[in-house]
Amino acid sequence: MTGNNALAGKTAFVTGGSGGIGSHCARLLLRDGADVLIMGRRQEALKKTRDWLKGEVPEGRVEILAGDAGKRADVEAGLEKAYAMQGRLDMLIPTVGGGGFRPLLMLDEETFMAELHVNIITAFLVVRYGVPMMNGGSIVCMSSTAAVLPFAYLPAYHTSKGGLENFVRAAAEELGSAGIRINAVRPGLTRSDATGPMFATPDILNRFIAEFPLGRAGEPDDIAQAVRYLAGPESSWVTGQSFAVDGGNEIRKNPDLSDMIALMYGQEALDTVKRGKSPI
Amino acid sequence: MSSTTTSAGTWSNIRFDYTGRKVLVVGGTTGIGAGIAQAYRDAGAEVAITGQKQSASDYDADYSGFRYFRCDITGKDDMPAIAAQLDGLDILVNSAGVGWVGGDQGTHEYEPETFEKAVRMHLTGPYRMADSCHHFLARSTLPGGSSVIGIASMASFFGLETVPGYGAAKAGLVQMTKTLAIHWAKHNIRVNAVAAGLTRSAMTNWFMDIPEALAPTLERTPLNRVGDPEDVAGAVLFLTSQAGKHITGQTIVVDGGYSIFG
Repeated sequence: MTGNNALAGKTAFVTGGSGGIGSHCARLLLRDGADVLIMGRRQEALKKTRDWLKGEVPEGRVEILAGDAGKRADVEAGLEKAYAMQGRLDMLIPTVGGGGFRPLLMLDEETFMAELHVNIITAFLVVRYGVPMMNGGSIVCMSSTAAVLPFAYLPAYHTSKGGLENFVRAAAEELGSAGIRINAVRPGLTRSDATGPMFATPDILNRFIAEFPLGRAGEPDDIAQAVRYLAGPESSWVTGQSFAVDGGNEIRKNPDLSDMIALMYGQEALDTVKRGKSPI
Repeated sequence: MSSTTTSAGTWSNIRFDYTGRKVLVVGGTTGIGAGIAQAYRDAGAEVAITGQKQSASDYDADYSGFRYFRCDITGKDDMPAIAAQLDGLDILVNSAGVGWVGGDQGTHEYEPETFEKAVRMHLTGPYRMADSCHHFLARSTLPGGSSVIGIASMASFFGLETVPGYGAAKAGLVQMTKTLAIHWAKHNIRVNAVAAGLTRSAMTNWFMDIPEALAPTLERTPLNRVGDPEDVAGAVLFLTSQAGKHITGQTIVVDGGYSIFG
């Protein structure tokens, strides 16, 4: 894979680095000349990803560190190891996130906060402790079309991605004076370990694709290409932005997944929720 | 090339490869359009540009590297006539634009005739050009799909008191981008826009030279500079490349952070 060397001499830190999107982000950053440190929770998965990346970009320099992006000490350790690769840090790519369908009236404060933590705090920690190590550069966060396009029964995820996008705007304002840009990408439904079950269920997948004008769901490379644009000098006057990479899904709507919710929690629970009552 | 064209050198060693691809940049003689046209040419594309003068030699700048068409984008006839002279097209960029604010221009957009002309220039004209070129774009073999790109503006989102027609049309352009994206997805044509903040061009130069006029804009621009045409070109060439293959219906904002403040 030949790149354009536009990122030569720069270093990137990627969390969620063994995930589908995170590993493909690392691949394109390596391709264009950056050194990359990928962090993830599972050492074995990281090793596998490193081997894959070395196959894709043999001349690339990639290192791994097992750690939890939701823990400050782990994030700091990852940032330091990334910085040490060539005494600098230029790009921060926090890709960790996630959420699950669960009706609002079946959530409690712990489950709600847990989703805010995994989607917002993981990015906050990278920005908060990575920025002081940078001398200008670019940060790209992983939002979702869920930031603007609601599903029923996904309230904590919507809240966290909406919050993440406003975090990006707020940070862009504060960090512009330091020559640091921060933006986000909004993937639509994209193939990954977490979304695997949806891809494996044709009935569900087809309902999504019906709302994707380009006629297919996302692949990790689709998202990584946008991250690469926002990470590099082509976008040097872009900050505080988020845009969708979703085959056009955002200009339409989400599919109705009520029947899936009924299967997950029972029709009775769903009916109870619809009456505004708590089933648990 | 003249000073109206992009200094692609500021991208250091970024390279896109559009070798042999056919690009039409409406309004490609100055400002943002000229920067986009030059960036495509630097990337190997065969680029046609349109302007208001009769021929390319009527300009001070050297456009010998481009195919040139005269085009009155506010009318009806030139767009199909230009399309009829093309032998294929992979990418259409609608970048022609001007605001009528009175003074030396002799008219302003609160005059109903001028308001209407502004809408024709920035909304109806771009649609007519896209419609005229649709059959070429539908046959394109460009990896990642062919593209229509509109150049939107801060006036797409905010009320700019001086240009009511321009603003209405630029807001309409964002919406048209969504609708055409859906309608033409089946032909593998992606339709996106780039909303530019205050960018150096013939249209904005008068403003750039007045520090007190520029100061309020820079104050609320986190990256603390105005845009250059290549900033917009960077987003455009990304969107139309294979890297943007899953992006349609979007308006990407390139504004140094100006619009963060809402």
